[in-house]
Amino acid sequence: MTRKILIRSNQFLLILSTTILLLAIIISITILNKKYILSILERNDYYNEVYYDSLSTIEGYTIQVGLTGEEEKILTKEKVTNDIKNLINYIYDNQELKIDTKSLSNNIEELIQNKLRENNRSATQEELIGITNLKKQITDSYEDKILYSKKYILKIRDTYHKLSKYQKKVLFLLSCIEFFFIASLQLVSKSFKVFLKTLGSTLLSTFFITLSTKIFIQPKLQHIVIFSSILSKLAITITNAIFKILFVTSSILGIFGLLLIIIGVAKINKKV
Amino acid sequence: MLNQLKKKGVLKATIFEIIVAFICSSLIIGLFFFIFYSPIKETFQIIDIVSEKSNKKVLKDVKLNLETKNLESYPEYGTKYATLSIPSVNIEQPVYYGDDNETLKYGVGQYIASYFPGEGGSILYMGHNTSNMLRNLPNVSLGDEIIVTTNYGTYHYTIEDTKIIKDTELDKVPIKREGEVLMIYTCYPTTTVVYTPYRFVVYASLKK
Repeated sequence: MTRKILIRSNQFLLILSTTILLLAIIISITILNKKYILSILERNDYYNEVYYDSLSTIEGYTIQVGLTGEEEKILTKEKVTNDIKNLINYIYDNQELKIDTKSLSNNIEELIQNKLRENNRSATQEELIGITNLKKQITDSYEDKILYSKKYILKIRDTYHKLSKYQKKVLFLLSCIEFFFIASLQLVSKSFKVFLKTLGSTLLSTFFITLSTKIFIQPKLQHIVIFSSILSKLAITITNAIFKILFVTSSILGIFGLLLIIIGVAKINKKV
Repeated sequence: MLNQLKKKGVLKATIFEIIVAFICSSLIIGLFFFIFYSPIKETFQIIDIVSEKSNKKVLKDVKLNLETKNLESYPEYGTKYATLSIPSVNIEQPVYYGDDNETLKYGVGQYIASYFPGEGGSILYMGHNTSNMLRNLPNVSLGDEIIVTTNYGTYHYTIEDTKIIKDTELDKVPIKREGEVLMIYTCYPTTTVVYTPYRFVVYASLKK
């Protein structure tokens, strides 16, 4: 009886450590991995969406000053892609954040000067102030499209660096705890077959836990709104991708666990 | 027989282990919720707040209640519900419910706090001063006709006044329920290259 209680207690702790270890591994290969995030941005067509969204916003300003149809001369797809990649490098590699708005400003100035030349006139004093304000409005809006919020970008960067600093140590520690509980289970089980079926039951429990997060938590996150529809869509895609990896991994573990249970139980019955 | 018994035994034991696995996982989830109940509840509340409600009603048929002079249903924000026509200056534009930059790219927008044609109150429309929108608006004359064709009726207005106001002079475009007045404005002058603080406003009253 005592042995059974010890086995089940050990199993309980092993389920906890397996689930936490699985979560930690998945987070470190997804959110904490720059290559993964860049691939999600690529697959989600994020650069294009931000580009067209920025063009649409710029158009809201240019339409008021008769420069409709010239937005693509102000902003290019390459610039948006480079600025977004610069932001990712800032978060993940601590590189300097440089969203170049000077080129935008120069492009707007050139377009306005061309229009004035077409009409054979130069800008009045009041118009010069207006042009400066227009450039500032457009460049500020563009910066917001890329950064959304400087305050939150800084928070994300700081959080990432704190997590990545201890990432390897935490994974190593969790792995050691996992092996410790597995070894302790083997010790307490005495019989290899009992150990097998208990280990199988542990893996199956991990599957049940991740299944419940997929059923109860994932649907709640399908309609979150963060700053803009584009960023929200990206956040939902990343969340769904993480849930998918988690579910697939735990399903494989669950199936393996079921096999271990059957093997363990069958061997015990054979002996009996 | 022995084999069958052994198979039955294996099945029972396997099912037992699956049940144990399920109970253990439920216990862990229960424990997790018990320990972290407050932060979990707050997180879900925040998620609910920042989630888009997906039960939006899309009202396709807009109808006017002739007794109360109120629309029985309203167009969804950003949808086209009417056409604006000023024959004397060749203006023919779609009218959208909403006045943000995105909506104004496609035609004339309606200030959402103003009334709808037929409701007997002030209606406020606005549009860009580009050549394909309301550039010709300052060329109207007093007495010109404006026609607004909605999907619940056609309304004819007569221009009674025009003004040049500043963008901050909101008292010059009042929203009232007494008397149906259609106000349409655009940036002025219409050939400016920068943001202008002036607006050209047309005031038209409903023809009886």
